[in-house]
Amino acid sequence: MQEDTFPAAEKILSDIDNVLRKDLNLVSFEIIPALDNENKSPVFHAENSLGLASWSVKPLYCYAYNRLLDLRRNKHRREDPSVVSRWLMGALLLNPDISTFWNMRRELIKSGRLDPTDELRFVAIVLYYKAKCFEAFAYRRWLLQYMLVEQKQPPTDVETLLRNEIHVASMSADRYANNCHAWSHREHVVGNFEALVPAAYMSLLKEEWTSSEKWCTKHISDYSGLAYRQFLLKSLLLSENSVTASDNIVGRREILYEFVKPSIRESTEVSILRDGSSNEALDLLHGFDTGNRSDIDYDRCLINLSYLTEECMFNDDLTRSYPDHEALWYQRRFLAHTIVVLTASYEKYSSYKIELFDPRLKIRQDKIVNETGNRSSVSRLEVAFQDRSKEIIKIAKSCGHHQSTMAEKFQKFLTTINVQL
Amino acid sequence: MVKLYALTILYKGPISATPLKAVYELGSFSFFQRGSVQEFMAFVSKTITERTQIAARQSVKEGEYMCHVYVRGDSLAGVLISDHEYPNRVSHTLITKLLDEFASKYPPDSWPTLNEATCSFPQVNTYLAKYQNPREADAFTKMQNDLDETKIILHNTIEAVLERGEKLDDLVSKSEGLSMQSKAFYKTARKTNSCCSLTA
Repeated sequence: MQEDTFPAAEKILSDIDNVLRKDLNLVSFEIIPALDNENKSPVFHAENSLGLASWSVKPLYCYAYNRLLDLRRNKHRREDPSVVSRWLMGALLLNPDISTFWNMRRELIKSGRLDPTDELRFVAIVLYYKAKCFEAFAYRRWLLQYMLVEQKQPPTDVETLLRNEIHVASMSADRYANNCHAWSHREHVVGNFEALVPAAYMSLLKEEWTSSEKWCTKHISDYSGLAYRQFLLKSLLLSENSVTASDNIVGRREILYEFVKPSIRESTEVSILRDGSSNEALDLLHGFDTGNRSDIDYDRCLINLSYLTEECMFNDDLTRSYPDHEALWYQRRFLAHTIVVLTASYEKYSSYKIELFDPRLKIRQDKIVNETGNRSSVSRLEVAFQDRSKEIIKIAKSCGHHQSTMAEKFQKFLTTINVQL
Repeated sequence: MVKLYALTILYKGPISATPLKAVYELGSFSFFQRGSVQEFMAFVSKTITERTQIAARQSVKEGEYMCHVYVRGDSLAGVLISDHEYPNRVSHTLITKLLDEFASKYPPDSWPTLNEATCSFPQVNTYLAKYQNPREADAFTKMQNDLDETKIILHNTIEAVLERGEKLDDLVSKSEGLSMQSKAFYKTARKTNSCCSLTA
């Protein structure tokens, strides 16, 4: 059989195991192309990086794989757990798409043979090499669940644990384009953060907002990153925390004002937006006179809305700088839809509620009712978005090619959600 | 990804091109590949300069990479290797500005005898770092935008730039600038049909 022809396998596996165990700051694993073995060890370790010469990959994987399958076929056989975990490590490092092997590691965790913290480090290394591996992310989430809920002694520093997850997700997104698994892992972690570290949740959201903006500026055709920003934006829009100094209401108001400024003609409106109460400003932005309700935190609402306008301006900016990127136009569709939703929500509740976000059709019907309903004036927010879109579409059409086709498609989309340019 | 990887200033002599200054940003490549990636980028920069006519601009797409080259009328050349999402116009503007600045420091008669060891031109680092964000760098180059984009010759592969009968494989195996390790990298990458994609 294959494995018997590779006597060095156990030695190589234990070399790799040693590196994983001893180098707590190990960052990466990769395969180094090498044509023959030159009678040297295939394991390389330098500057927190682990490498394996390519000639050893096939025999090593076959060895570990066959041993593991052998073991599973003979249930009665007893094997030292540390040996089994080493085979698993070898097999999964080279091919992490096998759920059976991850399940075998889950069993080892449950029986206390493997330490969950060490395990998180191992999976991070696997993800460096295969950054889009769903099984590895699924296993990470299982580990988190195990550590936070099922383990007898839950970890003391949950925040550090979760921030490390964000770091791993970020590394994976950098390593592989359109890595939706990495971003959904990140969403999942943010959700955990909200439940388990509520005190630091808002500041995390804002940090994520800033760092994902940086990321998206670099990855202009990667929709997975933009989709994560949509998730963040929804979380920010629906936030109900009471306003604190860290919210920087003055700065956020300035962002809102900057967004609508080009479409404002009257000086009374300018003064409402800059110096009026949050309630007045929101009424003007949405075009409804909803009165002043004591149960609504208008300041919060206004701050939340500013994130939407910030994203619109960010999208304007990227679409102008980088023509021919479809992802940016899809983001714009999301923003157009969100503005319609928020206006409907504000009319109904004088604040922003999640229930209106998804059922797209219903919004359209609501909107039609609105046309004849109690709208007091035009929505400054919608007008500003329309003006900006007109400008973007005009520029896009002058670019020609793909960019103008996408602009036309976007225009068509606007009519389906009842937005007229 | 909007990213720059390598920026090289070369002198295109009658027979071959000599690099005068080169700078790299290879942090996104995995550790054991960086050496080979750098050798390759140097190899490609030199090869492409040698196959570009005097007073010509070319942009070559190879997989997810772009290689921009400008050889001036006076044989001074600049090569920029970027990701394909980086705006071409900014790339060429960057090369032009860089070569102008270089020429103002070193007179043309010194170029044939210069080499990477003797040449001191730290500005090249600043250019590579600053232009990583093209929108910021672009703002002030827009004003003096005299670059005629229609004059840039575009190619879809490196092979298209080579002379008739030349093959990239042969050039690689003959090259003295590439180590055994890098040649092994090249062969493996070729086999998996991802010529320049050394990342995965």
